Formats: sequence, structure tokens, C-alpha cells
Amino acid sequence: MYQKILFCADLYASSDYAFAAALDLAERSGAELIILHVLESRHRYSGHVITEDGETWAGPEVFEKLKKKLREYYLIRIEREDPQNVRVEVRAGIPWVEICRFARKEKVDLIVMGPYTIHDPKAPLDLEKPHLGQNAQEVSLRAPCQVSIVTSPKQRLALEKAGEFPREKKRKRTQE
Amino acid sequence: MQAWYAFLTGPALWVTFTIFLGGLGIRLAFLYGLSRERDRVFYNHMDWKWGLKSIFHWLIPWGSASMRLQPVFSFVFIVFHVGVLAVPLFLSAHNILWDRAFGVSLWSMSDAWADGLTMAVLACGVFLFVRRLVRPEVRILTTAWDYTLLGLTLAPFVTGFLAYHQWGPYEWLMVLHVLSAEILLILIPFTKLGHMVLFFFTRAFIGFEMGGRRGARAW
Amino acid sequence: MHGKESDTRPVDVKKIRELLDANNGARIRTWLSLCSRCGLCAESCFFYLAHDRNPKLSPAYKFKATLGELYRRKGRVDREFLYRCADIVWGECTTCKRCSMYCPFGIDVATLIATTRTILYSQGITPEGLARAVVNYRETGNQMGMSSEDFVDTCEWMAEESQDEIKGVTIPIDKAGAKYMYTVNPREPMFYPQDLAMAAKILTVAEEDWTMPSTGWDCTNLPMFAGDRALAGQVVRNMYEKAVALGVQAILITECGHAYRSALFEGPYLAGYPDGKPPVPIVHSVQLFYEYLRDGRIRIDPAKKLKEPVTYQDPCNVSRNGGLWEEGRKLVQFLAEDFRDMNPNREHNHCCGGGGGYIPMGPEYKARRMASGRVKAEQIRATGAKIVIAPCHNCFDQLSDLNKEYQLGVKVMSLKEILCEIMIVPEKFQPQEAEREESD
Repeated sequence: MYQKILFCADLYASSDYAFAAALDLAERSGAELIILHVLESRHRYSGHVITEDGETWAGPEVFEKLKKKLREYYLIRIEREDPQNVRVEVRAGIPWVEICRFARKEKVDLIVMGPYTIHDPKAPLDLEKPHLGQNAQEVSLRAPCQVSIVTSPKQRLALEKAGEFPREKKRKRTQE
Repeated sequence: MQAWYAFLTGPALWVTFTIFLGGLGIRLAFLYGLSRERDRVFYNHMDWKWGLKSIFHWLIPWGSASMRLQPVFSFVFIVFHVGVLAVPLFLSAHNILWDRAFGVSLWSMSDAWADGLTMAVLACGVFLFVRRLVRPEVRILTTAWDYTLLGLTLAPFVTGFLAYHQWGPYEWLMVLHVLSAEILLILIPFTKLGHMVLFFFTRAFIGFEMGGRRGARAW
Repeated sequence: MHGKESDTRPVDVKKIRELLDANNGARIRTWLSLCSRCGLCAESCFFYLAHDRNPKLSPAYKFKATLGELYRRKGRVDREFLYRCADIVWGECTTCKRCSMYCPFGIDVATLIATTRTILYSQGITPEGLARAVVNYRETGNQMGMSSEDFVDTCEWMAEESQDEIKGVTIPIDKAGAKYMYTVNPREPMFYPQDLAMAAKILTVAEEDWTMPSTGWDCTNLPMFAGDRALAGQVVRNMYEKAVALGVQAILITECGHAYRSALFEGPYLAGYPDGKPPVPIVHSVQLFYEYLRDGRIRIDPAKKLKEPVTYQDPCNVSRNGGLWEEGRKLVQFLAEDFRDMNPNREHNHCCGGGGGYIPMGPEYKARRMASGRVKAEQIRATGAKIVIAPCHNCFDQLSDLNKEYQLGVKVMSLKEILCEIMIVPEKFQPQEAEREESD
């Protein structure tokens, strides 16, 4: 079915469910799974990127370090002992641009990603926020192939739980 | 004293004029030669219309945006320059000397005018001096040499003024007057005072560069 | 400055002297010896104005303390001094050339500052952001280090995407004999690929004969700001030679200011063309877009004309140093109903604070960039505009940052973005329903 599946890793637990889905699909269809992370350019005018160690200039060392980390994090989640058909890639730039560019170049058949990054899982959800982050939105609009945006059931649960919160906030505002 | 005066207005004066004109000539010739070799940009975009406009707007009072931005300083700056040039050139006493020596003279102004202009130059000089002291952006740039040159520029005016009014030892003042004027003339080609001729070249260049190439008014 | 503490390399006085001698032409000699320390230039400088008239920020002080001092000491200086110079020539001047219009002698301070940068560069001193860009230029011919393959692929991608909106959009690569060779800022393919799409749409609707080169497509010139004159010359030569090889009539420059300055004014000298003229004519987007609207090749939908108050940012290198301020204004008249000019404006505009290499110098300099951008922020606020049009990438990024920093509440837009939103797409360029469905 699929030859190449591209999973876009945002390095947050919120996309773990999307990874599980991508892995499952790849294993079933015997496809190559490419794990891609894009180091986001902090300023859209220089090669400066955001990494877990803070801002730095994108370069081979930064890329290698991140690749190693990605391997450690994701390969554990693959049950098969010696995953051969998995590749880890790192790019720098604007995530959706690089994802689309990569997908075109590698001629991938399917892109799997989470809807948006939740930086702090404990923070209350904002219902007024769009359901897709900018990257998921742009990728789903512009990708040269199928795009699968995978939400976690937990996220939905969290949405329901947090449902009261924004409404309360609104009520307060009208009282004032 | 008489001998001193005779020397200063005789051989020393010839030497002064030679150094003044020759110095300016050599400086210009040197810069010309250098520019032919290293400043092709000056010649590549020559545009006399823009060059002359660029000069003209900085010669007329408040002709440039920069002067209009600082109207008081510009006023002083203009009066100072007019006085510094006009008094020595058009003073009747100077013209009489010219006439006696060479039989030629320029138009001359009345002594009252000359007196007034001299006082204006001195007042402007004091203003410029004080401005150098009190305005931080000027003070930070100013060196002892700037004060010295300003003092030297004013010296012939002070001495000439005092001598004319016979305040103080006349003969001494006349000697100092001629001496200070000669020192000043000798210094012109070798210092920033060279701007009396180089001004026209630098202004023409910025006229070519901003106006000729880009249509932007450099004033 | 980055790396200052660990820098223990000896100063190469011989090299500095060589450069001082090589640059000691009639102009620099005259300027340095003529400056009468009158201080008139101070009021013209936005760094000076933004920092409560700190006298150390007056243009005359800046060149006196750097190049003036280098000549006075005949190059016998220490690292400490060089780093102090670096702080001035990169951190306190964007070479916007405004001061030379306010100097009685017309001293071209930007040239003096640029010469100092060259000397510092020879001693291995240059802001890290520029140094990194220089490496990219050297290795790949463009500042972002993008491969030719990636660039061409991005063009194809954008052409494909644009066809959904405008029929027949293509981005012709290396088409010989085209009228315009369109050159861009690598930030476009790298970070804003939609910019390529927008340009393609406009040029298609205007039925222009154009091409995108596969090499020499980067019209920017950061080595020029980094102080690497040899490489700066090479960068601009790559572009000129490609244009000559393709036999195009002119090079079209994207909405980028310093690219225009480099291609039309400084480039020929950097590349060693003795007559100071580029081998092919150079046209800036502001000029071309204005001509399209003037000649009716692009028409604006009157219903979509911008209703909100609009102001126009004169990029230094498009307006004062490019001569296109009137074209820019006339262009905006076609696009907006309520145009409000900043004051001062046109060739007397203030630099946004992002020029002269400041933006790509990177985050290290951001706080200073925000502080000195205060003058521009206040200018914008005073217009009451809601949209600021900035036909320059550096201005665009700087104004976007200022917008956040000073909470200006404006939208910064490029000309391309506005044109694509409000131009009339003639019938023949509208995709037919069937095609549209297909592409959906």
C-alpha cells in the first residue's frame, strides 16, 4: 500500500499517538518509516534555531545530536528488535515548509503528524484556538501526498474536561 | 618694530602667498592624481547639474534640510563665513594696499560695514567656541587643534579691529595682525581649512553620487 | 561581540596597513582631513536620536573613532581596539547614508564605515550571523546554503500550487533570452516560499517574459556588509554572468533593498567593472510593479482596495539609495484608499534599524536593534496606519519585530502579498471549474 511514510516529530509527548499510528501503518504495509524533525528557525532571517539547549546556529553537530536523541526516543517504541526500515532525518527552517519540501523530494506517500504541539500538558486547553496548528494546517493543504492528522484519545478527553474553563472565563468577563 | 612690519608685509608676505596658493595647488594636484588612480567612482558618474545644485544649496542660507534643522547655528555659520571672506577681501584699507602695490583693487565696503561685520565675526566666533564647549555631540569631536584653529581664524580680526580703533599699542597690533593673518593663510592648505576649495569637490561628489546616480537631493 | 574574550590572535598590523594604503584615495583622505567637527550630522542619525542624543552615536564620532583612529595610529592597534571598532561599525551604523545628506561637505560616512568593516574582517572580526552567511555564499553561492536542486524544486512546488489559483502559472528556469531574470532573497525559498508563488502569479497575470536562474539567483550580498569585498564581488559577478549567459534584457530584483544597492550601485565596483555600471540593466520590483499598474498590465479590483490607513516604509536602499521613492508612493496610491506618509519620508526617511547587515547579524544584536528601532516605531505610530507596506525583507523583518516590541498593532505587508490579494485575475487566467475540482 504505502512505500514511504513520513512521521513529523515535534519532540513533544502530544504527538506520540501519531507516531504509534505511523509505525503501525508502516509495519502493516511494509513501508519505510521516516522520522523527521524540523528545528524551527527562531528568526526568519538567519540560521538560528530553537533546540532543547536554547537557541543556537544550525550545524552538523546540532543535527547529529538531535538525530541521536530521536533514535533513542523512537526506536525504543518499535517492538521489532532490529528496525531496518526506519530512518531519522533532521532539517532546519519553518516546519511546514521543510516537511512539504522533504515530502516532495523523497516522494513519500503519506505524512503522519499530530494536530498541534502541546508544550505543557498540564495547561488548560483553549477552545477558541484552532483545532489544527499552523504546521498541520499548512501541511494538510500543501503536501504532495496524503496527510493523516492523528489526535490522541486522551487529548479529546482533556478537551471535554477543560470544556468548563473557557466558558467560566467568558461569564466572568460579561459580569465585569 | 617698523623693521618687523616691513619684513612681514614684504618678503614674508610673498612667501605666505606662495605657500598658500602653491600649497592649495599641490594639494589639489596630488588629490587629482590620486583620484584618477583610486577614485574612479568620482569620474564615472559625473553630472554637473547635480554637482552644482549640491554646491549651491549649501552656499545659500538655509538652502539645505540640515541647515533648516538647526536654524540658529546655521545663521551664525553663514554670518561667520560671509564675514571671514568679505572683510579681508573688501576692506578699504586692504584695497588701498593692493592698489598701491599692484595698481589693482577690488570693490571696497565702507569702514562702518567692515567694523560691523568684524564684530559679527567675533561674536560668531565666540558662539562657535561656546557651542564646541556646551553641545555634547560637538564637544566629543572637538580637539585642542579645533580651538586653536578657531582662535587663529579670529586673531587677525581681533588685532585688526583693535588697531583700527587705536585701542592698545597700534604698532604691536599691526605686526600681530599681519603675522596672524599670514600664519592662517599658510595653514589653510594643510588643515581642515582647506575646505575653502575642497568643499566644492566633496559637495560635487555627493551631488553626483546621490543625485546623479539616484536622483536624491543631498541637501 | 561573540568570541571577543577567547580571541587572542595577534593583530596583523601589516595587513591592516596594506588595506589602509589601498583605500587611501582622494575621497577618504579628503573626508577624513576635512571634517570640521561641526556636529551637524548627529541630528540625522537614528541611532543618535533613539538613544537620547548620546554624542558617541553621532556619525562623525563613529568614523573618527574607527577609521580615523586607524589611520592616525597607522594600523598599530590591539585587539581590544578592533573589537571596540566592531561594536561601532556593526552595532551602531546601518550604512543608511542619511548623514551624508546632512553633512556640509557631503562626507560619505557609509563608505568610511564599510572600509573599517573590511579592515576588521581582515583580522577575522565580523558578527557571527554574517560570518556564517559568508561561509554559505562561499560554499553554495547563496546566503542560506541552499542547493540549486532544492531551489529549483521549491520553484516547481510553488508553480504547481499557484496553478490552483491562476491558470498556467509556471516558473521558467534558465529560459534564455527572457526579458527579466528574476533574482530573489534566499529567505524566500527558505522561509517564505509563498513569496516565489506570489511573484510567479503577478508576472503571469502581467504576461511577462521572465525566467528564474538555477544559479546566481541570490541577489543579496551579505559579504558586502560583512567586509569581505572579494567575495562580495564574486557574489554579484555570479548574478551578472548568469544574466549575460542567459541573454536576458534585465535583472529583476525582488522586494529587497540592499540587493538593489549591491546590484546597481556597489556591485559593479566590488566586481571590478571599471565603468561602475552593471553589464545588464537592473530593475527593482517597486519599479516594475509600478509600471504594471500605470500601464494597466495589472489592474486592481476597486472593491478590494485597502480601506484601512496604510503607510509606506521607504527602505533606505530602495528610496534614498535607490531613487525609487516616488514610484513607491504612486504604487501605493493604486493599492490603498487612505495613504498616510511617515515623517520624514522619501530620501530623508529614517532607516528601520534592520539594514546594513543588522538583521542577519542575528539574535546577539536583537536587543540593540529593538532599542534603535524606536525612531521608526514612533514614526509609524504617529501615522495611525494599520498596514505598513515594506518592499524590503530586512525592513519587513525589522518592522515585524518592532510591531511586537512596541505593540504598534499594525500589519506589515509586502507589495507582492497585497497585489496578489487585490489584483483582478483576468478570465483567461481563472482555472476552470473542472480543473479546480480536480486539484481539490
